[in-house]
Amino acid sequence: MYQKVLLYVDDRPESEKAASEALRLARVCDARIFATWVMPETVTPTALAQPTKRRAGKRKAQPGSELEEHAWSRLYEIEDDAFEQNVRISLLLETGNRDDKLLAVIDSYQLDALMLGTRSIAGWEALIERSPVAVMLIR
Amino acid sequence: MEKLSAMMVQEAVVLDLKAQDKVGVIKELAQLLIARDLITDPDEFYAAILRRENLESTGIGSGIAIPHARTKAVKQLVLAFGRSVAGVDFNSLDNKPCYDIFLIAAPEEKKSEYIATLARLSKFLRREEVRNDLTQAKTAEEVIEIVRRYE
Repeated sequence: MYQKVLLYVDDRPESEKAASEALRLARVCDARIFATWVMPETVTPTALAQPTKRRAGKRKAQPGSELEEHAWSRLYEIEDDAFEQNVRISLLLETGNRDDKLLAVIDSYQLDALMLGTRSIAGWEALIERSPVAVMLIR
Repeated sequence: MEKLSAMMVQEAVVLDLKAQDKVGVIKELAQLLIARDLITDPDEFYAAILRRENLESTGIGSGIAIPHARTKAVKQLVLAFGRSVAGVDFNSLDNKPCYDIFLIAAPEEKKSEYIATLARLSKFLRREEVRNDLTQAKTAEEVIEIVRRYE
C-alpha cells in the first residue's frame, strides 16, 4: 500500500476534502503525508480562489508575503489535524510552476501517490499524464 | 494577533545552546520558560512537544527548526529562541542541521493564534536577511530587535 503520499494543498474547498481523505488514508496505511503548497513565481490578486469553509469570513490573503503566510496557515492547520490523528506529516512550501514542483517533490522524496482536491479534471491533465505515481482526485 | 517580538521571552533567548541533540535543545529552551512559570506542567509539555517531534520534523529547512506544542500545560503563547553554533539534527527534509531554533509554547485554547504564529514565523524565517541577522546577533535584546524590525 501507500507509504508516502503527496497532498497538494491550495485554497479551494475541494482541497480541504482532499486533506481529510489523505489523513484517513494515512491512518489506514500508516503512511506519511507530504502536504505541499506551491506558490506562483508572480503572485496576482487572483492567486487565491474561493476560501475554504474553514477560512470563510476571514480576511482574504493578499499578493506576496500575505499569500505566503496564508499558505503556511493552511499547512499548519492540516498539520494540527494530523497531530490529533497521530499521522506523520511534513510540510513543504514551494515556489514555481505547480506541475513541475509537484513532480520534483515526488521525485525528491520518492513518494508513491499524489492526492489533490478538484471538482473537475480540467487543468490537471498534463500533471496526470506526467506523474510517475498514482494520482487520486478528490471532489 | 500579538506581534512575534511581543511573544518572545528575553530570558528564554540563548545565543549558544549547550545541548547537541534536538531533545536536549527542546529541554534547554523549555526549562527557561518553566523557570519563568510560563509552563505549569513540565511533564505534560515535554510529552506534547516530543510526541510531535516523533511524528514529524519541525525542521523547515535553511537551518531553521520550530518545535511547537499546544497544551493545557502552557499559560500564555510564548516564544523561546536558541542558537546552536555547531548545528543540531532536527531531521529536516533538506537533511541539514539547524542553527536557529524557535520554540513555540501555546495554551490549548489558543488554536487560531497558535496556527497564525507558526505561519508568521515560518514566513519570517524564510527570509535570508533575517537568518543572517540572527546569526550576527550578540545579545538577547538584539535578537528581539531583529524580530521586531522584520515582522
